[in-house]
Amino acid sequence: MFENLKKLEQEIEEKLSGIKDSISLSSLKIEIFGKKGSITNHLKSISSLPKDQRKQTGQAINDLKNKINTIIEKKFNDLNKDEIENKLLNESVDSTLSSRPDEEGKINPITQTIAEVTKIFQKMGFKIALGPDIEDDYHNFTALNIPPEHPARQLHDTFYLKKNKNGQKNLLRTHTSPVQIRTLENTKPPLKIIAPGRAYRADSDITHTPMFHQIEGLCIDKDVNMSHLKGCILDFCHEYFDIEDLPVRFRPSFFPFTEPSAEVDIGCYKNKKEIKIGTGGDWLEIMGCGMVNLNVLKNCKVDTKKFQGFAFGMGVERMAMLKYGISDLRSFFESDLKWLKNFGFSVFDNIEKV
Amino acid sequence: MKFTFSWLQKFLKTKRSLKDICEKLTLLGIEVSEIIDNQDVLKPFKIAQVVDVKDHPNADRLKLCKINDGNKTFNIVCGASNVKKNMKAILAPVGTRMPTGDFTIQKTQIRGVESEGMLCSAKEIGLGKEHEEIIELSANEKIGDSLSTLYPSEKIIDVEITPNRSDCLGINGIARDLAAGGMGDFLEKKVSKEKGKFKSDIEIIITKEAKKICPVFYGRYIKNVKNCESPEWFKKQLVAVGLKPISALVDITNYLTIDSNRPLHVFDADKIKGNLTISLSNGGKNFNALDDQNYKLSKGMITISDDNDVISLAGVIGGSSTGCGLNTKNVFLESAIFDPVSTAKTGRLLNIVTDARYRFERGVDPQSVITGIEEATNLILDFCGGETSELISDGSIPDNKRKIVFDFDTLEKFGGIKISEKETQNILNKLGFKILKKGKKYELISPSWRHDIENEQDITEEVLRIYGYDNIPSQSIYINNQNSIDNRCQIRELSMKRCLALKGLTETVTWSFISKQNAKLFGFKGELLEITNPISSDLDIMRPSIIPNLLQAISNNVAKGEKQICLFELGPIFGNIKDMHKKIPDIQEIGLAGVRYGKKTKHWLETERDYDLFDVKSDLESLLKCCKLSSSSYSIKNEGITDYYHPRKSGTFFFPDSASGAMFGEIHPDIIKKLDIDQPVFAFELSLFSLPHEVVDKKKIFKNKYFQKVERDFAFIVDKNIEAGDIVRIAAEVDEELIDKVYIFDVYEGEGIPEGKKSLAISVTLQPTKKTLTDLEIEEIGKKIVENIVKSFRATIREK
Repeated sequence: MFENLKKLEQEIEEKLSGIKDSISLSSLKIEIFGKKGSITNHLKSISSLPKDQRKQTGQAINDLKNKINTIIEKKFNDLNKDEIENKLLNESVDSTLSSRPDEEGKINPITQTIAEVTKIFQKMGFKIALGPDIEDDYHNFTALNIPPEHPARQLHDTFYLKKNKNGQKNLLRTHTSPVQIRTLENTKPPLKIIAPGRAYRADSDITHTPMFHQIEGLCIDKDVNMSHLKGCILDFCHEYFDIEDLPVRFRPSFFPFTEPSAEVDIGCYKNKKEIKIGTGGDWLEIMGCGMVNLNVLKNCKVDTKKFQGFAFGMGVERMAMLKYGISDLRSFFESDLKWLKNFGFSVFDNIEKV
Repeated sequence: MKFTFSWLQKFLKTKRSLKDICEKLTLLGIEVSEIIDNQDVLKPFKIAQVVDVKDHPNADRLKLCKINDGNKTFNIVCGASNVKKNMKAILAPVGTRMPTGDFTIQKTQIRGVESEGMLCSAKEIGLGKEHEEIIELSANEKIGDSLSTLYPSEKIIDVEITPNRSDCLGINGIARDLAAGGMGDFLEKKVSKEKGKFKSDIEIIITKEAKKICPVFYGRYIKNVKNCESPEWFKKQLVAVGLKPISALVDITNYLTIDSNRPLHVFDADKIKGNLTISLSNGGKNFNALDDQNYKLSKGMITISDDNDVISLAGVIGGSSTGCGLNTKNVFLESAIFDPVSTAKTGRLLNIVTDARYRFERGVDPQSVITGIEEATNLILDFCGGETSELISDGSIPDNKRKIVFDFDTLEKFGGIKISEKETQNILNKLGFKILKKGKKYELISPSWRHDIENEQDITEEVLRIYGYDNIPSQSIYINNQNSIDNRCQIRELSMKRCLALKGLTETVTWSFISKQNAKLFGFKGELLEITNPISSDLDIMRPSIIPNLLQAISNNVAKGEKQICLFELGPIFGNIKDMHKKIPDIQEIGLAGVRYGKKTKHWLETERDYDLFDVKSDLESLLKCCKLSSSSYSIKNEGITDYYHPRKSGTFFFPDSASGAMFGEIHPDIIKKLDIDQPVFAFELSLFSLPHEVVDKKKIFKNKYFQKVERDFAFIVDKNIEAGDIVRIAAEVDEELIDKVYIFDVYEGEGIPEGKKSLAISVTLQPTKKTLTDLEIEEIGKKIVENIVKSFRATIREK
């Protein structure tokens, strides 16, 4: 019996020494310890031995089993190590090769600017309101205190549509101000709205396009006055341009739908090549504003004994051009892919200062 | 409007600098757009002497001049006929930028002879019209001095006057505002009145209907005048503000227009037949105006006629038949008031822009009718001599002064600032208001020159404006709880845009218009909204879809050599829309559309491929996911497509309860060709109005223990025209609880598949929730799926 074991041990050791890879070692292990393995068979045969030999033989087989096991484990370790080392030596990839491409598009600067601007006013409690691009004369002019022969109408080169089925001659809104009227007609004050949208004027040159975007704001409440208007616009300018000491100036002006009216200028530095927002002694006009003309509120059946308020309006393209250094207004509408990629924003660009 | 600092000082006694005045003007609401210094323009030119003149060797008309500029002598080639030895002339040295021609003088060869500079004519410097001859200066002028030493320094201020402030269209009005703003003392005009020595030969009649439009008309006959050029000092003032001197009589009327917003007119009295009648035109007549144009009059236009014909379009432009020239001997002077609306209408209908129209349509001070005619009389007598008649008139000067009750508290209520009563009174007084009553409620009378002052709010604005907006404090209005603001609509649009950008499409913004030609090419049906006065014929139809503009954008970018173009736009679309919106005039929706052209970005591990229909279908699906619409909230069909898609390579997403759906597909090859695009374009579009409301995403109860998922694949052979979507739907309906997902993973036609058939392979995922499925149960479901599909589509199982 013991001789058998000795012989088995020799055989196994011989086989082991001839093994060069882990897969053959695994099969050898099964050959030895598997269900029908050589050592397994020896262990099974113990029960057929006389009782007195069982213990001693059992001990011997177990010793052999443990010994072989240890050798195999060690061999496994060695082989694995060799194999991984080999693998590392022979396999390689050039990690500087390009990854699978993401085709990321860009968000238009007009969208970005509208989002940035409305976000700031949202923090002041303004809610977004929208109105139609195709308007009637009443909402675009008359209700805004611009009667038919008012000289202010000449400043608006209005696009008109052919008469519709009802015989009505509509127009393309020349500003976003009619949203004020539509909101006041449908909503009871107090209210605060901000209305971004397209506007149209029949004008086309270096600084005018027949279509452009505006953002209109309206705040109607019981006791809002010009100091609130100033605070609102000042805070907006500082936050939007992200310049804390940005000079902001309110200059009297005229709009039929506000009184008192003002134009808002921000400080800048100008020379022939560039305009830099900030301190520098020059001024740059950025928007119009004022206390809502009481005639406008009356036209919308608002009780002017109780309510008053302010309104403001700005050009989106202009705001974008000033903040992001875009020099040509017309380029916004040319769909030039290179321009769009250059001035467009990544989806991950924040609309709010972090 | 332009004026000179010295002219302003006629009305404003001030020690302030020009800079202070200009800054204040802007803060008063009179925006200064430019300050021009005439010295800057004149400085580069030098006084020089011609020391020798010879004929040019190679040109008959040119002369070779030796010029001394006080420093050295050099050659100039000159073509002027009056150039002669020893004359003093104006030299533009090499390097001078010419004010009129926008070019710079350079050293040059003229017909083979070197010329170092130019001798200037009046026109070349902007000092007059003469251009054949060079300016000859007096022999006393000092050689080497700059031309600017011959002209007094003059600063010209260009301001923009808002439409409400017609009073500031006269320099006196600007001065009054400056005085109110603390910049000096306002100097009231003192005009002496001429009594007149005889009765006017010409009478004035305003017809009854015309009185509403012309409430008052004053006239004066001045005989034996000698019209001439205005004196130099007078001409210089006019030239400085951009007016062309014509003759003394005309210059005087132009002068007073600028000086005090008082348009006047002079008729050559000898050319007037009989009397003057101011009446409303019956229309149809033609009229020759001073601008040498012929205008056809419409009914209701206000005209001035003599016994023969219309001789003036009142308040707009005078007639050529009675215009004054240098040989005018007798003059009839007009000073009147015309209604702003009527003047504006006439001007607009005939498209005539004059200083008179501009002022009458904004409002002229009625009280200036008499002072204006008196001042003009004085100037005419001064410059041209003559004898004047008594003043004659019809109508009466309208009283446009308004009585306004002004609650002192409104100032603070609107302005958010306390201004003392004393300060307020001071401002109002200086602006020309009369204070009738003080106290809590003021009673004020507005000045006759302020047509814009009607009510309490106007008074508030005046006081705040003069007091200074910069003195108003500012109060922040930030709120604490911005979450209460519901801007969901905006957020949805922004998410959709971001979703598409992440898929590789770039956002563009195109016109809301398309061309009629494109509207035809795309075959839009239904009512198109057309602009009556488009800026060009490319932009005359309100777009019913965004797609045409996106395709135009692709075409333009292809022309620039772009190979991969993926664009989208979210914006309004108009007309041609099925769901009518009642409240807004004509119909408008918000559309979203995208296009893909070219190949996907190449990669070294993958085979290159073109964009295809399933890229844009995936774009649409992502958008709907972004709007929280699950695949069960729509169905997809190969139908309902508009004409501009490929009829057999397009599809529609249908939403229940919505008339229109979301479309996607390949753009019709004919359109692509006509737009010069060389490869197929794939597009999608939808209306945001047609989208169902988002489905609020309720989280499923999470079961910790999940039972084993099972996947089974099946392949069927069906008729080619069977829609894959239907097979997926039928399979999913077999057991809606157990079947988690069904999708097509293979489509095959060709070898091994009979003609007219195709093989579709689906993968079905079963997700039990109560217990693990047994082999038998799995087999049973599989059998049912096969059975239903075979029955519904006359399919056969495809053996492997």
